[in-house]
This record gives sequence, C-alpha cells and structure tokens, in this order.
Amino acid sequence: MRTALYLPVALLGTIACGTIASPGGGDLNLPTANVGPFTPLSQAEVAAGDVPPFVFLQEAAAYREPSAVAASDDASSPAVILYAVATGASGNVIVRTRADDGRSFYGDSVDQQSNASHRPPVVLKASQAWEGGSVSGPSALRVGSEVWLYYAAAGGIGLAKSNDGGMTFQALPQPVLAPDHGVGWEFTPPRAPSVAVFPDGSFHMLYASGDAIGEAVSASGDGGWQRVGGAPVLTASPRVDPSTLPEGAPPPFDEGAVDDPLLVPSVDVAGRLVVRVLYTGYAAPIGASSRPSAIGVAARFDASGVFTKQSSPVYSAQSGEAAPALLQFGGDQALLYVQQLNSALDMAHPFFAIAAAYAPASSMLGAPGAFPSSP
Amino acid sequence: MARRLFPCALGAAAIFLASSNAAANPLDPFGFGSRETAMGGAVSADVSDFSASYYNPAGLAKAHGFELSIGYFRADHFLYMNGKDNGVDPVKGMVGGAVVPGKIFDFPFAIGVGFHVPDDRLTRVRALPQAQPRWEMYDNRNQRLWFGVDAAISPLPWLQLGGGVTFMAATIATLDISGDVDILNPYQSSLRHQVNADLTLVAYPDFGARIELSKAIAMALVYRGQFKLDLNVNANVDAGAAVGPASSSGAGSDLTRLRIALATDTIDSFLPQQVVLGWSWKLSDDLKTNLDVTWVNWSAYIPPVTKLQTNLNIPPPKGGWPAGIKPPTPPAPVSIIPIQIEDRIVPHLGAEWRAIARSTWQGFLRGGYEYDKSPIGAQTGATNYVDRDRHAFSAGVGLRLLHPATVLPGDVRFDVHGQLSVLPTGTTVKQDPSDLIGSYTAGGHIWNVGATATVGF
Amino acid sequence: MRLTGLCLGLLLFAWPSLAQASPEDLFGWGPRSPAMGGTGAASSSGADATYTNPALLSRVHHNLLTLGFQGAAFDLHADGSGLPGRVSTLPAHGLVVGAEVPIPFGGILKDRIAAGMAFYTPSDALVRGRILYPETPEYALLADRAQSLAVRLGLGADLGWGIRVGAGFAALAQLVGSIVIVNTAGSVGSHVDDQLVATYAPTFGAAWDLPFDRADDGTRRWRVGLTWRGSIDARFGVEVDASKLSTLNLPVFNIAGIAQYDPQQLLFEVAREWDGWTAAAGVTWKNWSAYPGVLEPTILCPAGQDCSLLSPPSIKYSDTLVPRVGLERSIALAHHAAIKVRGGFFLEPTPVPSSLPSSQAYDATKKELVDVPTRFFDATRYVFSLGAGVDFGDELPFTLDFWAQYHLLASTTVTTDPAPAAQLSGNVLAYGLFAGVRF
Repeated sequence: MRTALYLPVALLGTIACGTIASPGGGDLNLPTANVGPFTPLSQAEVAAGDVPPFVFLQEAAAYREPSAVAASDDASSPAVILYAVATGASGNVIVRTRADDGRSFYGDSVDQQSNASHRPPVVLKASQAWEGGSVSGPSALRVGSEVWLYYAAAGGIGLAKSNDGGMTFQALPQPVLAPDHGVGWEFTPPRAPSVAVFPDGSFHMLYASGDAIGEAVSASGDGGWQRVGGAPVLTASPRVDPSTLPEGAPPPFDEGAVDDPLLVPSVDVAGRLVVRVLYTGYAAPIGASSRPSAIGVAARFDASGVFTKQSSPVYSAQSGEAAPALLQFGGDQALLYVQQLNSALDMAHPFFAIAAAYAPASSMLGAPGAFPSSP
Repeated sequence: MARRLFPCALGAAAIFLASSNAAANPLDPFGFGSRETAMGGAVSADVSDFSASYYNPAGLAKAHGFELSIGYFRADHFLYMNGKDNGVDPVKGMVGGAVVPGKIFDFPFAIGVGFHVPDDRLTRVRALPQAQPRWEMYDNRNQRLWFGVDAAISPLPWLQLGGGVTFMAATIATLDISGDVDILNPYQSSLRHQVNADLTLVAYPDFGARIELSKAIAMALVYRGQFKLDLNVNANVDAGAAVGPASSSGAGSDLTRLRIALATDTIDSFLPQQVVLGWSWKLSDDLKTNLDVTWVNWSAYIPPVTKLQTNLNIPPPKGGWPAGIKPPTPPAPVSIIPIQIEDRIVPHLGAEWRAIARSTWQGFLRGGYEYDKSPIGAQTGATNYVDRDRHAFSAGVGLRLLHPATVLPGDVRFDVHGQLSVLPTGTTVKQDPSDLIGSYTAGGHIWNVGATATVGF
Repeated sequence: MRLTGLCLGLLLFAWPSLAQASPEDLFGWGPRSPAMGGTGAASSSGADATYTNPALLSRVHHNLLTLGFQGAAFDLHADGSGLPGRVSTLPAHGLVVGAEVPIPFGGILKDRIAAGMAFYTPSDALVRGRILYPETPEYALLADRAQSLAVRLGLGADLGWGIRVGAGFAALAQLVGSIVIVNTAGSVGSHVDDQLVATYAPTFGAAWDLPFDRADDGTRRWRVGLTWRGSIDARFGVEVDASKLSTLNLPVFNIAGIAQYDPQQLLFEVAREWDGWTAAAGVTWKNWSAYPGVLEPTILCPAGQDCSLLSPPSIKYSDTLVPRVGLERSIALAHHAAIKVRGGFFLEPTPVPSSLPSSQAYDATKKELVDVPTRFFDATRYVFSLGAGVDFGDELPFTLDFWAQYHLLASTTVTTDPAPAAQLSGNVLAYGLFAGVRF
C-alpha cells in the first residue's frame, strides 16, 4: 500500500517543475589565429567622453600610424604601450602613450580635460640629415631588455634603441634600410617598417614602397639588412571587371595599393611557421582623388615567399582607416589600432586619430578602466 | 469478423501515430534508458519497455503488462580545442515513459510513450557563422526534447510490427517594427512592433519489425526518418530617423527614413535517416548478446548556418549625416560553403548477464560498446565543423524485484548505467595560411551516467 | 538541480508557441463534454476528464484511444466608421487525440487509478500567432485562440467512500532568444540563439458521489465536482540586436508579447446520473483580471536611463462567471451497445471592457506621435451545443461520437477613442467527430 501511494505522489511531484532557460555554452576558448575580423569598439567599451571607436585623439597632434607593444609580461593583460606619429611644430614626431585597459590612453583628449599635464611625451624626432626633418611609421619591438623602434624617414628606414623601457630612444646614425634604385618596384623610399623576430632568431622586416610591400632579413636586426628577392611579397590585387562579379559581390578592397604592413609570426599546433601580415589595402592607386581603404590580412607558411590573402578585409570603417597595430592578449583576444579619420568634432575638417577594434567580433570588452597616471 | 476488421484497427493505429513522436538527437549518442545505454544501444531486437519507442517500436508488442518508467541521465562534455575546454553544455534531463499493452481482435497490441525532457531548455536553435569552430555533433544538436508515441501489433506469434510518425514544427515569423528612431539616443525612440508567425508541421516516419527466428535468436529491422527544423524569421524596420525624441507636439529633428529588412533562414537540429539491423542471441537463460548495425545517412546533413539577407534603404538626409554617424552600407552576401560529410555505419555491441536469479529478485550485469566514426570531413578549409571519432564504452547493473507488494502484482526494476565516450585528439591542419582560425587540435571525452526505475504491472 | 516536469515532453508540440492558445477553453475538449455545454467537472467518465476534472479519470476501467477531428468557422463583425465590417478570420480545424488508461495496481488499489491524455493540434499551422498593432481590428481572444496546440495529462484516483481526487497539467512552451546582426568589415553575419522553455499550468480536481438517492444497485446518483486550473501563459520574446550594424544608434528591439494566455479557473458542478440519463449544471470562474495583455514595449528602458518610449495600451480585463448546463440520454442496446444523445448550453461573458483606451503610434506623415484606437474586440457568447454517440459494445471495440456548437455573439457597442464606436456581432459554428478504439 505504501509503495503504491508513493508512485502517484512522486509523479505529481515531478509535475511541479519546469524547464528554466540558461545561457548556451560551447563557445569558450575557441581556436583563432587572433588577427580578426574586428569590430570597432562601441560606446560602452571606450572611456566615458570618447567618441567610439576612437581611443587616442588630439586634434592638433592628429595621432596616426600606431605601433603597439605589450606593457605587461602577463599574456592575459590588455595593458599596451602605443607609439604613434604626431604632428609636431617642426615636422612629424613619434610619441608614446599607455593604456592599462588597452583603451584609455594617457594623454587622450578626454584624459587631458581632467589632467591637463598628461601630454604624451615625444620619444623620437628627426635629428639627422638623412631623416629629412620628419619621422614616421614606428615599429616597436622588445629585444632582450631593450626596446627597438624602427621608423621611416626621407632617407629610408632607421632604428632607435631604448634601454629604459621605451621612454627615451637613441637613433642609429644611418638608416638600416636605404632606398635601392636597382630594385625596380621600389619607386619610393621604403617606409612603414614592421619588424619581427622569427623562431630561428632571424629578424624579418616588411616595408612598403610604392604601391607594394617588400621584405628584408637581418641576422642581428640592427644592421646587415638584405632585401629578399627582387620582387615584392605582397601586391595589390589584380583589377576585376565589376560586370564579371557575382551579384552583390564587391570587387577586391585592395585593387589600388597595399601599404603599412604589420608582421605577426607564430608557430601553429601542427608545428608550422605561420607568418601573417596585416596591411592597409587601398581600392584606388596612389594619386587618386578618393582612396577607400580597409585593413586586410595575408599569410604564408614558410619564412620566405609571397603571401596569400584573405579576400575580405578584417576591419573596414569607410573612414580612411590605415596603418594597423595589434595587441594580442588572453590567448584569443586582440585589439587592433588604426589611424582613422575623425569627423566627430568637425565634419568639414576631419583629422586622424587612433581608433580601436576588438576580436572576437561576436564579443565585447568589459567596461573601460581609468586613464593611467604616466605614459 | 475480427480478422476482417484487423486492417481497420491498423489503420486507426496509423492515424493515431500521425499525431505523435518527435526527433531523437540526444538519444543517438547517449542512449535511452539505463538498461539500453549500458548495453551500448544494441537492443533493437531485445527491447519491450518504454525505450522501444526509440529503439524499435515493434518491441512494444512483446510487453506483458502495463509499465511506467522514470529516470534521469547526465552527459558531461570534456571537449577541448587546443587543449582548452570549450564549455560545451551538458545534456541532462529526465527520461521515462509508459507501455500500455492490450489486444485488438485477439492480436497483441500496445502503445508506448517515451520522453526525454532536458533540464535547461526544451530545445535550443542556434546558428553560428560557418567559420566559427563548434563541436558540430555535441554543441547544440543534443539540446532538445525527445518525445515518442508508438504503437505495435503482433499479427503472428513470431512477428511484431510497430511504428509512428514523428513531427515537430518549423517556424515562419515576420516581425514588423515601425515608428521613429532617435539615432543619437535610442532610448528616446518611439517604436512599436507586431508579430505574425506560423508554425508548420514537419513529419517523418519511423517503424520497425522484429522477427523471432527461434526461441534463442531474434532479429530486427528499424527505419528512422530524416528530420530538420526550419527557423525562418524576418524582421522589418520601417521607421523615421531623427535627432531627439518624437512627441505629440512634433518629431525631433527629422533626418530620413530607415528601411531595414533582415531575413534569416536557419536549418537546425538535422537528424539523418537511419536504418538499423539488429540481432539478439540468447546464449543461455542467463546470458544475452546483441548486435546492432546502424546506417546513418549523414551525407544529407544540413549544418545550422543562417542564410542572412539584409536589405537597406536609408537615403542620406539633406545636409548629410550628423558628426560621427555613418549609415550601414549594403553588405556583401555570404556564400554558404557545403559541408563535407559522408554516410556512416555505426556498430553497437551489447551483452546482459543475469548474474543472480532468486525467487523474489534478480540481478543483472551489462556492458556495451559503440563506435561512431566521424562523418565530417577534415576541416582544412574555411569551415570549422569540429568532430572526432567516438568510442563509447558502457556498463551497468540492474535489480529486478518480483511481485514486491500486493498492490504491485508485477515487478519493480532499478537500472543504472555509466558510459564513457572517448574522442581521440587529432589535429585539424588548415591549407590556407591566411585562415582566420588557423590549425587546431581537438578531442576529449564525455561521461554519461544515469538511472531508470520501472514499475511493471 | 533544475528538474523538468514529467511528460512536459509533450511540449515539443508547442514548439515556438506563438499564439493565443487553448481551443479547449473556447469549445471544451473531447467527444462528450463539448456536446454537453462544456460540463463535465462532475459528469465526465473518460478522457474528457483530463480537462474537465482529472479526479473523474478514476472512473476509467478500459484502455481507450480516441481520435477525432474538430473545427470551427467564424463569422465575426466589427461595424462602424473605419472598420471592415466582417473581420477576416481563418477557420480553425485540427486533430484530436485522447487516451484513457487504467493503471492496473493490485490489492486495494485495484481499479482505482487511471491516467488520461488530451491533445489537440491544428491542421493548418500547429500554432498561429498574431500580435498586431492595436488599431488593427481583431478578435484575438476568440479566433486566434482556436489555432493552437493543446496538451494535457491527468491522473485520477478513487479514494473510496465516493471521493475521487485527481491532478494534471496543461503544457506549453515559450520562446526566448536573440538574433544579433554584426557587420564585420563589410561582411554581415548573424548569431541566432533561440530556446524553448517550458511553461505549464497545474490542474487539481475532486469529486464526491453524494451518499443519498442511490440506484437499485447502490450506485450513487448525485455527484459534485470541483476543479481548479492554474493560469498558463507563454511569452514570445526575441531580441533583435542590430546595434553593431553601423554607427547608427539603433536600439535593441524587444519583439515580445504574451502569445498565449488562459486565466486561472475554478469550476463547480453538480451532476445526476439515473436510468441512462445524465444531467449536469455548473459554473466556471475565470480570473481574466490578471491578464497582462498581449503586447510588450518594443524597446525596454534600462535602469537609470532617461527614456521616452511608447507603451502598449493597458486594457482592464474583468473576471467572468460562465454558467453551464448539459444533458445526456443513453439508450442501451443489445450486447452492451448504446446510443447516446447530448445537449447543452453555456454563457461566456467577455472579459474585455466596453470602452477601450487609446494607443499611441508615430505618424510618419505628420512626423509626430498620435493617438490611435485600440481594437482588441471580444463579445459575450451564448453557446448552444448538441451531440450524439454510439458505443458498439461487445460487437466491436469501437465508439463513435460527434458534437456541434453554435456561438452567438451578443451585439455589443465598444467605444474606441479617438475613433467612433464599434458595433460587434457575429457567430461561431464549431464541430467535432470522434472515433474510439478499446484495446
């Protein structure tokens, strides 16, 4: 009798329950090459007062051409040191800033509203004849205890070194990669360097010249740079007749030129060296009145050779975006910094500022932190 | 008279079956009922309880009395990519059902009901971009309810036939949003919506036969139809765009008109058709061995990737957009890359030993094995439907109490099971160096434990 | 641990349950009860009791499977300035399945406990959901409610001394989810994540065979029944997030509403069974005043945010009392066969007030917010029912039944400011055909 009574009671007990929704899982720690695609930061992801996706802005300085290095040994930290070109009183200079959250940069215009003394220090300015009075295209690299800063100037690509953690730099007297008029495709001096150390210890540099990107290698990094081959490793995509494209499909975004390489080497789980490059792709050639741009990615498996492109850009804002810099952190997160035209203050007179975007694109960063007290 | 009416009864049963049943994804990898799971799912020729609704509805006709079953199982995934746990949701919930035997014109006839109801949700439809890595067979497909009602009849002493028609619903919904959007402060917008939705019927058949070749040997043939859910949701926004809120005294600074049409079409929870051929050998009064071989038509599989169409009609306002505002531009269409997937033969092995037989109780030991070779091709391209071969080892014990009480003239059974699925780690090597995911390793294991109690009358 | 309700498995049938559900609340359920004016809380004897009073499932002593077809045709009118006259309404029809199963306990529980299942599925669309703009004329509590699945399970027990108790539940599912549209570098992608979660309403019933006025064989002729049904609602809620489509500040759209609602109900009924006659009379209280309405705001205002958003109209619904009467005459034939004739009546008052508040909408021409009428119509119904059935007894293990209902809508005037008043009228013809098989 007791058993028989328990059964219906138990059945009724189970009736008094229901399903409860809970967030779905399955998308934690997903593999990624960590080079995009990126979505621009939203209002909730940037410092209060900043206009997203801009994170480092000062109208007079017109910050541009950023280069990022991690500010922390903690691989999960988004703390970043950014070197960027600024318009100086007598030519372009390179300044330094820092953000502990990857977004709230020391000396940003919003930071300066409450901390007027927060001015990003100039860490490099033209001081040698070959530089032609102006420096640009910084590419910062930690080498041992030093920070090396490659940069572009009128006479080629130079190198400055810092042994105080990247606060002050001493430039080498001569460029490490000078123009070579014997190289047919380099119809402008090399610019926009990006240097990385490969697993074999060799230094590889990608640089832009004309409308393409070339490569040079060096055993030491501070001299003996040799161009690789006589041809660029990354060029603009061949022009496509729009009438031959499938309906709705856009033409290649980089039909005009490629520029501003950012070298990102790594070794994948299969043990292969994967050399990726983020670059600026222009839809129109140099000199065109309008040059829409976007940030693309290309890669190769070997230490040398031409790169294979992704057909779609990894970042596009239709606002003159160019010169990518990258901070990878947390294993599967990355912040992309680009120069981008800001028209928020004056539509008629937009100026460059540093914008940020985040990957994975389906996620959002948490709330921003405070501005740091020092650069 | 009775014999002439037999076709009528069968027809009536068929009509009834047209109103029942549902799809079966969670039961494919994790089994249904502790006895059956412990035996590796190799029971199509050896099942007569509630789980026959899934394994072989023909077995219901072998039921001797009314039965009620209730149980619970939980399968926890420990699945990793690049050595990191991907947090795949566990599959967990109640299982159970009932078998109602009877006779129509002296032919044994029975109706069986079986269900698995997940704890967290009844079903989840999830579609991701095709490049996003996901455990295709475990991430979302198993997050769903299963419910089956089947009927069976035994027209000859050595033959049982059973089946049903499974159905669920496809969704077509249109969401209309109209009003006025304040593009600088969306929370000052004046919007309202209406919904127009229909759920349409999706049906597939399942049926089975069981043949007793001798007192010791039986074989079974089961067919389970193909199933998929179609989720088609369209959202239309037709609203004014302004700066500042609208009010009864007028709009904010009117700019232009937003017309945005989003059309999503998702195929989800695809279940391929299956054919099962099963055998059961009774080696002695106390020992049974079973074998099921399942053909799974994976080559027809449609992955849950949303086809998205976006139409934008947003003319620029006179004088241009406010500072900082850039309207969306018509996006490039995304082409869906076909999945590389092949049909598979899945073997199931099981054994049951009645280790103890007393006049008032019996004890059983069970074991089983199942091998699922992954049907998905190497993901060397842009898609990342991650899967690995699965070796499922299972074991269980059972206790049967005979005539335990006056009010329970039949028996009471308690069964528990444990199943370990091992997915050996392998490396997916990408061919394109510019792939945005890159190469990765994937593998892991799944623990599945559960218990079922049955009262037989 | 979040356990799940037993047999909520049936909820799969209510997959994205986007509708004003519960056809059984409109017409009743089963082969017998709808023919008898929806009575049954004291008089049901089969699977009907799953809906009317699960305690009476304990009267079941044979396995019976019932299949049927049920339909309704609507002729609903809304007359007045700016109104369509006849309101477009699709007919409703669908399949009915019922099962009654005695649970064969032994000993003192022998022949005392039985289970029942009641199921209805529309044949055109499993569920039809309409959440319309308020100014669109609609009989949402009447027409769309007939287009939805209905799933009920129940269990009844005979405690002895003429006392029976039972319990059961109705089950539906509600849809919650999101569609996130992301524009990544000019490529638009989407993440779709929709989940069905269970919603259900318990039912409890009791019946007492009164100890006086017994038949010659000692059977008690009078019975009272009491049934309580909990309210059931199923929400449709999908968030469409296109805020990352561009730099346009598009809000997150909350496309949501109460897609289904049945109010809490309490039934009381008295029945007498004698010499092949069954008569029943009762009343049902429906707690419509708790109905929150159909629509939810399209944008939800976050805490601490200054918002100026449109709010859906708030209609004050009223509780209703539904009186019912039913009669059945069973004519016994040879071999335990029988012919049954049934009739009944009930009065279903409308919970909707005769004056509906106005709603707000954005007028694209005037570019300002304007008042629009709320045309959420309903009217009191007078419902006449009849039916018949045959049980083939020992000859064949089959039963056949049919019923028909005529719903006459009381002519009603509803004020719908700022538009002129609406004149409501109409009728509904509902029917059902059933076949049962004993096994």
